[in-house]
Amino acid sequence: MKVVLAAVAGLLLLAAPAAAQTDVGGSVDSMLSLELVDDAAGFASFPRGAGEYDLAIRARITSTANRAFVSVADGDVASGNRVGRLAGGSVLDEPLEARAGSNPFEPLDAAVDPILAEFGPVANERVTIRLQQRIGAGERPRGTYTKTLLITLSANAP
Amino acid sequence: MFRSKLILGAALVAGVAATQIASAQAPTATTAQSGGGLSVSPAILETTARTGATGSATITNSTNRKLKLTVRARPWRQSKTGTVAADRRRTLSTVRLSTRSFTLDPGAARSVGVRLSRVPSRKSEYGALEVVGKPTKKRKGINVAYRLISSMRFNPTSGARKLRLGAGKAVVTGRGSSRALAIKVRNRGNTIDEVGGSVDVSGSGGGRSGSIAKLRVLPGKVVNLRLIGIGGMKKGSYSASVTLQQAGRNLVSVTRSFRIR
Repeated sequence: MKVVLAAVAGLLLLAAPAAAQTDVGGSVDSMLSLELVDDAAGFASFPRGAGEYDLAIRARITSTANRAFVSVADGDVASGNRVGRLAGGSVLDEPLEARAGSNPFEPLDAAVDPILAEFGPVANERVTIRLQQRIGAGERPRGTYTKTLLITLSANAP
Repeated sequence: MFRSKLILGAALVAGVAATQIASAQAPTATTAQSGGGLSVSPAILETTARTGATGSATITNSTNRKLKLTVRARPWRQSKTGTVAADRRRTLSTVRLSTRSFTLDPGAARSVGVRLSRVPSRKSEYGALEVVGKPTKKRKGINVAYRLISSMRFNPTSGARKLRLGAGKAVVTGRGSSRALAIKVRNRGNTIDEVGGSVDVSGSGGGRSGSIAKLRVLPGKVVNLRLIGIGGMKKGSYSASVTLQQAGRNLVSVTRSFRIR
């Protein structure tokens, strides 16, 4: 009797997955994820003097939001004349500028942080953010400069 | 021999089935992670606006270094085009967080509790949850840090729910092929249900009609809701019949005149 029951149970367990059609799927928690792929370093000093200096930051984005965007904000100050400007021995005349893709450069001293790129739902989308610092002909940068930049991934709907 | 093989087979099958069930029921804490970086989940924290209403967000540090985290509840700012941004100069006084700053080791995750301490008079609250992750050591030059902005929605109770829209004048925006017709819309209600509808343009230079791309408008805010592209239409006087909908209901029907110059 035990043999028969065990055999029937075994056959039922074996047969069930084979006979039934199973929908394969799953649910993913809604999320925002930002990965800064490489740790860009630079803009500590400007030994060449006047000219344009460039720096690239590579990021990877995962977002389940219907609308999301990437922007860059000053992480040191939120208001005043130092917003978006490298500071150290002096505060540079020109603000830092940023862009993503082939869009034009946007200054980072604006009242509203510029939107560099917009996305629908994406997984591991690559974005390269390019930074630019212009040094004017009459400007004499001295010492070392620092600035914390907040690479921002934001839902674009309340 | 045959009997013992059968029992062994049944036990194996049962074991495999049990393992499959167990794995299907295993915690899904790792599903929110994707590669490296800093993540916040959920992207939208949504609940009913009641005093003491709570929720939580999980912040995961998948980078290879320790991060100093700060978390703030911020009000949204909404531009005329409908784009929203967290207002970094202000915090949302109606929302309390269980913690506002901490450090997170590589691979670690932490849950932050969110609580609505007071329901505003309009019976709803909408804000942004700002998560900033900075490296613990600052260096010369550019220091890059993470900032994630997710959405907090404390929706009105069904009894307090109010859908109301105000329609202002029509506005022609853009130039050339990107020229579009928009209408000023104020959200006089207390929800952020999407605003959409339909538009029918007619005039001396022909006509055009279509549905309006949906947009969420913060309560009390005015946006220029894009109605339809009018690139290529001839100069002249036109009228636009606009029906605005929210939550599937027709709330406003207006006719507005405009000129293409």
